[in-house]
Amino acid sequence: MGRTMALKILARGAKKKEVVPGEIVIVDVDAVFMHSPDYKFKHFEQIGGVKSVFDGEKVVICPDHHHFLPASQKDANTVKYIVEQGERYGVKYIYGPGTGIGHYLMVEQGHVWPGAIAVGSDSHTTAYGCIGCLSSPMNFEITEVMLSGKAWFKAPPTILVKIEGTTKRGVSARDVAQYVLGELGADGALWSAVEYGGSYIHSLSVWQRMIFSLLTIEAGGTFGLVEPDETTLEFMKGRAKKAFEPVYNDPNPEYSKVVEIDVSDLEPQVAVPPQPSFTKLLAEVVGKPIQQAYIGGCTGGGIEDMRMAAEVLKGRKVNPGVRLIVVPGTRDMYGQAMREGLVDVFNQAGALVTPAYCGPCQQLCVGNLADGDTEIGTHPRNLPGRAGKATSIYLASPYTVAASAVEGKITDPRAFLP
Amino acid sequence: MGYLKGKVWTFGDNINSESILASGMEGQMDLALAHVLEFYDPEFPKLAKPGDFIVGGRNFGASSGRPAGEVIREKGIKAIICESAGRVFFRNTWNMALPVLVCPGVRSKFEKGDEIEVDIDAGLVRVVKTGEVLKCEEVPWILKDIYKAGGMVGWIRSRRKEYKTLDQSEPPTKVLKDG
Repeated sequence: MGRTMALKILARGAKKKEVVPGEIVIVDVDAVFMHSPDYKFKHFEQIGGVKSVFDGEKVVICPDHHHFLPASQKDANTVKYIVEQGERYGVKYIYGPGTGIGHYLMVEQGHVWPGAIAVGSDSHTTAYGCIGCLSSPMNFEITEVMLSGKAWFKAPPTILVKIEGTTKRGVSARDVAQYVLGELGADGALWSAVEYGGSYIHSLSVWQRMIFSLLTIEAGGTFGLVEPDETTLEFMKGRAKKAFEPVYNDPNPEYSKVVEIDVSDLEPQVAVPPQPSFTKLLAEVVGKPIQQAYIGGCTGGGIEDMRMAAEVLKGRKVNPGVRLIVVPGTRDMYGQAMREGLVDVFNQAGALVTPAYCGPCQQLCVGNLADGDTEIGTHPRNLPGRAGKATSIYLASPYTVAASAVEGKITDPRAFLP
Repeated sequence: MGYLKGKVWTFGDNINSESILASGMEGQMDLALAHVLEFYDPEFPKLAKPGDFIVGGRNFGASSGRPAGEVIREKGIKAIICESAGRVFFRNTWNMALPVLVCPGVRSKFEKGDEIEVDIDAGLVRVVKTGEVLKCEEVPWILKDIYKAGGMVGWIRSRRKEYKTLDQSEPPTKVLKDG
């Protein structure tokens, strides 16, 4: 049996000939992403004598969660501290307000590449697997990685999720990813890598593949990978900050499990509270009244997500009982949406469009829900504690969220599409 | 260190870190302590005592990377023993010098308020009411090393000479309990 790309990348990072599942390996990292490094910098002070991070070119800060603009003086002070400390320790890439969501920026701005190893303080750092980068969240320990440039992993077995077929009109990559997550379950990929393959996955753009990679953490996975193909290499042209050599699976790689899915007859899906892996048929919750709808987040702020929403919203009005918030994933995506006229569609429909950041996904800036409110959004997570305790959050495709915003209740979008 | 004895708080499967430590409470320890785990058991923040233990189900600390283990440690919980643990939570929490022991079969052996004895170093759990002893899974050596150093900050300090970026001339000013 051949080796999986996960094991091959780890072996390369550890400068070893081979690693086997279960082995503890220490690897050199190519990129470190941080979204709220304030307490990591406080660790530096506690450690004492720290002059700089291991390599300022490889550390990226984007305080995307709290602050497209600080919502309070406390937040303003935090952002100020993060930027000052980042500069003090020689971090080269510090993304300012409105630049976007860190996960999109890491890929868009070429901080990661096929075959790279990246870690991030945000738990959705499985995202960069969409280009064949081995990326994984490490929160508290990022302090150590920032100093040493090294991270340790328990080499994982790989689960192959092989997806074939073509989806019906109105069924998007989010519906498929949501279905896969439901099949895996909240701990279905614990301490494992997941590789997404099959003709369906390879028909998708890099950004739509990212939805799968990123949601891998909601099944407990360590990495969420897509083997690089022509789409990946075309996307990477002129993008990566470094010349790179992609890593592919050996022929006939050894998987711990294979899940085969045909999406030809898949219906729209939804995650119901209180867990992202609680997947149901959308039809089961149609009619549920909503007070807020959100198109954005690191699984729904891409240009294609905004196009899907605009397809539904063009010439229609958001229900007066609903706040629809649209948040582009990055400034470049925002610019693209403007050039394509999507922002005008949103504005005329009565949606609120904000600068690029994490949006109300974790309600730290704008778009807070009141007790008893129900929201439907394209973001990755609906756990209690993100938006108070007495709220309900449903997760669905941009089509579904847009159609629900128009109707004021959870709605099957297919009647809204030509 | 041998066996530590205490009372058990039991929890179910997929207890997630965001519902242990809610949004907006990060960095506000008093507030976080007043609400820790209340989503799953409202009595926990009110009645949990230093020296107690948590026995959880599958995937304890699922999902997010937020530093929820720190709040549980500050509550005085001595260790979390569970069927399995969320990967980021597991790593984070050992780095905060709070042990998370994965012990298949443990959840069904305990009810809330039962007595437990735990030997953290040996990875052994004794069910006091039956006398049964359960063996926990091996913990990665790095995490054991970090735990012995009192947590990540102490561990980094103890091996600081390995970092070129650290000022070699400056001696540690004080020994920190943890990160």
